[in-house]
Amino acid sequence: MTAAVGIVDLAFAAPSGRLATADVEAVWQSGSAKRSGVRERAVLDPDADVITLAAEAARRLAPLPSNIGAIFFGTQSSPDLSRSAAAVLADMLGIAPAVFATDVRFSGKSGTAALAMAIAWVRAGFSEYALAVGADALCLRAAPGDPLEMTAGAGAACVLVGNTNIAARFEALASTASDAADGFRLEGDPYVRSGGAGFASSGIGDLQHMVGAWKLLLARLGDGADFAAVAAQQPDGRLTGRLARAAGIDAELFAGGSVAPMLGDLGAASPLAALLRQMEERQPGDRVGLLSYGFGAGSDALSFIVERPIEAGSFHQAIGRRRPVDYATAVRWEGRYRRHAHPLSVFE
Amino acid sequence: MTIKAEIIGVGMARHGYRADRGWRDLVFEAGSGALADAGIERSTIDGGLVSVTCPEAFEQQNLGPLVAEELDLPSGPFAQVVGACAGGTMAFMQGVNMIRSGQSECVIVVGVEKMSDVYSVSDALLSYPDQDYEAPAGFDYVDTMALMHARYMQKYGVAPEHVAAFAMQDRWYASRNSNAIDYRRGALGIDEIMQSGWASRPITRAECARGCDGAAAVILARAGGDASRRRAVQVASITAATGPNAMGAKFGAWPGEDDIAEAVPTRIAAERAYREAGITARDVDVAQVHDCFSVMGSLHLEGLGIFPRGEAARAVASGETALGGTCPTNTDGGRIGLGHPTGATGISIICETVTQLRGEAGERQVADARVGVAQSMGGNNAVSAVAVLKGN
Amino acid sequence: MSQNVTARPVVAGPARAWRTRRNRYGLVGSHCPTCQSCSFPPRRRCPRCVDAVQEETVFSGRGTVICLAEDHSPLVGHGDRAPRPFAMIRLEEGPVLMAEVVDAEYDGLAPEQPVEMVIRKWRPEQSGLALYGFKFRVAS
Repeated sequence: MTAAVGIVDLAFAAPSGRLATADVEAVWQSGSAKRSGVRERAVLDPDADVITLAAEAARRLAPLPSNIGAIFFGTQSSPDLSRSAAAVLADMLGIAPAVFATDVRFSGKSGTAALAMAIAWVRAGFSEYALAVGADALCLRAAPGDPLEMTAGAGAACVLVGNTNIAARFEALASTASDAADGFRLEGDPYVRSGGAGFASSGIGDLQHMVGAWKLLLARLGDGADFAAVAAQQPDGRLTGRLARAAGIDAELFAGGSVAPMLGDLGAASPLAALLRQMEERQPGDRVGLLSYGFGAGSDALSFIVERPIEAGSFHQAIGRRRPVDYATAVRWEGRYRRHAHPLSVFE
Repeated sequence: MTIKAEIIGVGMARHGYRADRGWRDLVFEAGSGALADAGIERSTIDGGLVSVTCPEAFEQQNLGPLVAEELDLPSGPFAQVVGACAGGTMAFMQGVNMIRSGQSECVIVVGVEKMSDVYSVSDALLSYPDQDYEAPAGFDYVDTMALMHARYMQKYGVAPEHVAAFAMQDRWYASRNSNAIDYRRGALGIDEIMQSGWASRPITRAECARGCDGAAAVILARAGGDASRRRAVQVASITAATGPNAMGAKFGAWPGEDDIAEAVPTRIAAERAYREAGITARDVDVAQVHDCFSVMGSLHLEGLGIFPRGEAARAVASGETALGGTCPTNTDGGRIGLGHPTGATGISIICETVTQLRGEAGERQVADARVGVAQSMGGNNAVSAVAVLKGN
Repeated sequence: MSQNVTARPVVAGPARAWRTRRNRYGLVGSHCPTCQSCSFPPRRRCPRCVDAVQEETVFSGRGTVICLAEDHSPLVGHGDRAPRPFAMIRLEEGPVLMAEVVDAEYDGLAPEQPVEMVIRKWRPEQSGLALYGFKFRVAS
């Protein structure tokens, strides 16, 4: 019998700017805001990135224990190719330099990958606490006019994993991965490209991997495992519905964890933000599922047993701190045009 | 017997955006003018100083010897002085000290700036505000001084139109100064100033100094020499004082004055300058103050003791610094109307004071001006230099 | 992207910013054991009582607005922005600093407004690396 390990606390942050998906559709006349199931998406401030968003979320984990032994920073949109987001965050949180820090990348499942590593780290006895981050600013990775531009948002979730004062005890993990390029980003290209209709319509990427991971998880849990809630990846407002049908999960189990309709595709932060919402309403003894997806492709399925609920104040604040911005502002903030080093406006 | 210094010649290069002139051309224009005004041979000069704040604009340092060469001056001690926007007056102070120490007989002090070559003047000057926590956070001088402006209005209950009146006055004087960037431009009304758009709220665009090209030069000599120097102006005193450069550090720096709405270094420098010159603020007939933004002119007038704290802006708005007022101020048009080639500014204020004390200022002449004060500020009230000049 | 542009040729490497990272990330300042006053940035000697031995202290990041302004003329590297409010802010431990107020409109702010620290990007370092530092927003 291994010692208990689990989620001690969970917090979330998102930029305050919101862009209506209908505004993007009106500009490009392509894609469908309505079909995406996303009303509006977060717009990244020009002075923010996944590191500042993660720092903001981490500051809401109160109080942050001093003996955090590791930071696993899951993101596919780190601002720098070599500078470790985990190391920068360690310094921002005042826990550098005696800490294991590493970045973790697997597109949309980078956050659950980081969480799985943090759980394994603490379970292995390397330290009492570890921090897992899922953060993305996919809005910077969406080409103008691409359907992804409509839904790609930004946000960060931080999960404090530990072996004491546990809120959600880790129960089981199952994963799938295979080489299926249903989405990809090439070296030097700022924008993610879709693998096309062949993947999108068949579910070879998302549904196959998620259903596969979920069934493996159920097999590991054995007969009679029933869930009070499932927090799932939400690249848009529709995937959970498709998933419910394909995996035989009651759609009601996803309902309490909805994040995409208000914030768009949060990438690595998406399933963790959903988990935070789901943890707020839970009773001790509830089983909660966590199901992520990353194009490329892979899925992580985890289950937890609730010992106490977690307040989702940071999520509600992020939703409440909403400032509508128009498409032109989003274009400017997210840097969609190549510009002179010295914009002409500075020497009028 | 103490040696005293006097100013025997002044020269200016016209201020403005002068794409056809390099920094050497501007130095030559001002320096030759000063030499001609003094009526001396070049060989008389036995030392000199050059003030510049942004030589990165022309990628040249060590301007001392280069200016000596450009003006064809004899070999001697020539050096470059930096003191942000007060650098010109700091160089002038060093020049005065060269005379007072007996080291030199006749010194030229030149200030020059070539700002129209850079893409952004604000960015070019960004090495002067606090480099650790303020400039890298995106704040330049218009931002730091916008907070001083806001604080001044808040602390003393002053209306924005009163603060803005300084720009209106500057334009009036500048339109009558052929060296000014605003020479012969029409009067600027208070509504136009208030509606010119925000630069950094509450500072409007028309309330900002005009970073531009320009140069100024003065010739200093040992006082009591050549009897022909009837137009000489006496350097009664020259002092400077410092304070914290970072905005936050001003709170708590001086008990009772720990705020950003006070020009404390100006007050400290002025008190000493007046004492050494044997005058009080009431004796000042004409003043040049550092109005890089409208509010700063008022802060420095208060620092100089010419108006009580919190009252200068209203005094300017009611005409007390106009011709015929209690203390005509920035009679050359100031930083807003003359232009603000930062390295030259601290010397151009000396040039204007000399011109006024000689009674040669034409349409903008202050009647019966005998005592003039010239003040310049560097950084966010990090340094302030105050000179008291007396006519003969 | 324009955010990654530096105004001048590279003259300073990343070591310069590295030295102040803890102050920018966590508001690390100094505390005077003699007169109990706090300073930011940290001081070697207390500016009030001139005690030469100062202790390092981490400020809470909570404070109130003293006075406000709004930047309409961004510097190179700070373009692409709506006019941004900024303020003199007095930390609850006493020191005063100048900082941007994010996620807020100028007209919605006033003196005495409680604010809290967040970390955002400042102007990029001359090396091109992102430089992070404190900004503030309305306290939650």
